[in-house]
Amino acid sequence: MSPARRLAIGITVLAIAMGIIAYNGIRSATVYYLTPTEFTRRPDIQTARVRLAGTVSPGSVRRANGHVAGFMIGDETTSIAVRYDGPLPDLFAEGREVLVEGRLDSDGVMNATQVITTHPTGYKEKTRP
Amino acid sequence: MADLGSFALLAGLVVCVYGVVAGVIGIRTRERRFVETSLRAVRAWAALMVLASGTLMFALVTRHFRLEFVAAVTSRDLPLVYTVAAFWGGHAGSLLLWALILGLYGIVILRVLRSSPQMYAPVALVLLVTAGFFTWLLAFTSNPFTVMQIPPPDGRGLNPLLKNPWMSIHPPTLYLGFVGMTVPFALAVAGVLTGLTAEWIKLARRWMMIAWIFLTLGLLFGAKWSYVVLGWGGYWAWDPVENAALMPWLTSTAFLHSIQVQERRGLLGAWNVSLMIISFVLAIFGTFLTRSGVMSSVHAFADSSIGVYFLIFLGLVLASSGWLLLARWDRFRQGGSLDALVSRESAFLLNNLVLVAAAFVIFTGTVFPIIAEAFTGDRINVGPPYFNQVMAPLVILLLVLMGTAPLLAWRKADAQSFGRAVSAPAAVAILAGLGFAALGVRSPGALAVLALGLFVAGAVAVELLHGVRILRTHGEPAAVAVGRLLLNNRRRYGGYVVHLGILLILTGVTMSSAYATQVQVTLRPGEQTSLGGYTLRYHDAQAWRLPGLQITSTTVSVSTGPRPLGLLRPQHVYHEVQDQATSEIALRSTWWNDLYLVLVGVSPDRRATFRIMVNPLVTWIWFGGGVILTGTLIALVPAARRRDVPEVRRDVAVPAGAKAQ
Repeated sequence: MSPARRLAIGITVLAIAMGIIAYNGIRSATVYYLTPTEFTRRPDIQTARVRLAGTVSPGSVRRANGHVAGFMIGDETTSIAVRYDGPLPDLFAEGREVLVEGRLDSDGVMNATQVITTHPTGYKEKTRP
Repeated sequence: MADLGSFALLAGLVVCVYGVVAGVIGIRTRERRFVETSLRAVRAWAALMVLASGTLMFALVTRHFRLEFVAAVTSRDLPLVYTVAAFWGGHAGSLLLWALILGLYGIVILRVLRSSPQMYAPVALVLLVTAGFFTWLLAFTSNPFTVMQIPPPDGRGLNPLLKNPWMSIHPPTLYLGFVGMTVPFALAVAGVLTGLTAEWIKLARRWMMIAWIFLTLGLLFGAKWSYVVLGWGGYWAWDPVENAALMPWLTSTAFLHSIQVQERRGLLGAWNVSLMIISFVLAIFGTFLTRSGVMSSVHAFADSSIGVYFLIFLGLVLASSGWLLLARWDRFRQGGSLDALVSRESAFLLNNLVLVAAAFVIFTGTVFPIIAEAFTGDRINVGPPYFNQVMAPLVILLLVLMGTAPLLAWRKADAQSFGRAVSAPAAVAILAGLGFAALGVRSPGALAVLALGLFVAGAVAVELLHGVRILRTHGEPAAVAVGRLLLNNRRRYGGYVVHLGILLILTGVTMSSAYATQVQVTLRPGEQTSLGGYTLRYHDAQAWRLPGLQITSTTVSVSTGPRPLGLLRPQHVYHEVQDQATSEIALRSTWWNDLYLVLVGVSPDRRATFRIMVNPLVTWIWFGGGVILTGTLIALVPAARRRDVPEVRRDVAVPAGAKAQ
């Protein structure tokens, strides 16, 4: 077998391995991005990892030991309870728009792993060239 | 003033069309005067872009609020430095900056090509077509000289997040990299049309290196900005706009390696030309991702015409350069063949495949949400876990290649001499890996990167020693030998210096992602907390107002053990005009770690909430950038004329006498 052919076989094997890693990666890292109302209308993804976009419902922030422990995220019609005690971004406040990433628990409360505030002016479109 | 700017843009468009027509006739008829017309068109267009940019800059500095763009990005209280930076603080200005930089590149490359005039016509044609496209966008979709009937009394002011020195230099540097990809692309077209000579290889390599270093620095400046301004403690988020710059970086890095295979062995000609085309396409695609709004939503994209124009332009570039490659395929048929599986050239080939695969998986992760939304209507997000998961094996593979390739001979590596050369670095790597594990490094990724990093550094040292030994057999003292070796093989050793810079960055990135710690605490004045060996005592908070700003500042003293390290003052700033709050983080950097302090808020009873992070080895990332710049400059400086030193090559055996020393 010529060196070029052996190399070609090696490359094919590598490419297939890479393809499998990438495919699994996309499957496990894909997060649906929806509003609370849209989420409640999608029974098929109730157990999937989702990113909810909504506002922190006024008066819903629950504190324990001076830290935020949970809140409700809502839009015009629906709101969903969120459990979260990790670090919060700068702009987190009641009434602010936030993104909550996590999975719905069996008790109907969302276990959030990450809370991101969406910037009022959307800095990403504006600032990055 | 608006008229002057708009005139410059329209005249620029006319000049481009005129120049393209002349250039095409020139290529077809081979008549010199038509080619010269197209060269003059490039220069005239560049002059018009300088005029347009000068006009916009003047309008910004004089606060000419009748221009929509000026009113959107400046205000009367904006300092001069940021007024200048406001040029690229918005969409239309960014595109004009693109055009301006292309004009400057055009003038320089035409000057450089004086010694190879056969490439004039195709290079000018590519420049003019690209120029025409951007001038079209500027004139008809994103004109920075659009006027408002009723000028506002004051502008909205620059986005506060942009008022940072790193943001002032990040966009121009990144654009020098993005736009710089046009030059290798133009050279690729010229090479396919007129021949891939040794002169062509030199030019292509040099100009890709120039674009590459700007892209590298642009990426790092952006990371630094993200780190010190956005206040989340990180520098890279696998955000589409970041990926947009990383993809052409990966393909141009691949090119800088594979062009050496063409130079030495006459192989991979078509592949190299393809990499030049792909790097340019990815640079344009990057501009498209950041400029068309496609990332926020497919629907926003469908509503704006600019995205469609970009896709048409990209399609045209891909189709025409693909057609050109196939039409001139015979040009690439002359090369030799791969002699052995284990050789420098197959290591370079593998490195190329890994880099291109990395670009491809990043591309997939970046566009997947767009495609999924277009087909299923679901909005999805592909998060950092995907990118980290797919990049980790690729980075490890790259490190292995980075360490072994310099020790492999061209054509066919001799197993024995390779074994001898590789044994020392490999032993160092294994011992270091065990040592780090014993010291408590448990993350497999971190262990692999640390051990392989030392392997690569060891291989560079072995390679350097090998060269010194050969010179010493010619009777040179060791110190002189090292100096001469570096001076006479600048490209090679410059390249190794760049590798060391990459190692520093990879080490910093790996360690700071694996071992960063953070807490969020609320403290009363006088209370203290500790993290990662630092003790932080919160003293007090003050609040004051400046025009348009409400500032809340806190004083925190830092100590480690009994030793005081000084005061940190993290602040919280509310910008009234933009109704936006920003954090002014406080940072204390050492070689070992960064103490990163963010003020989350202060309650009426003066209790302050802080987010405290200790990020290890982040400084190495910025320092690595400096090392890369140094290495690239070493490689870019033209080689010394004197060639009285024997070229050091791996396939030259070390004389028996030298080994005894």
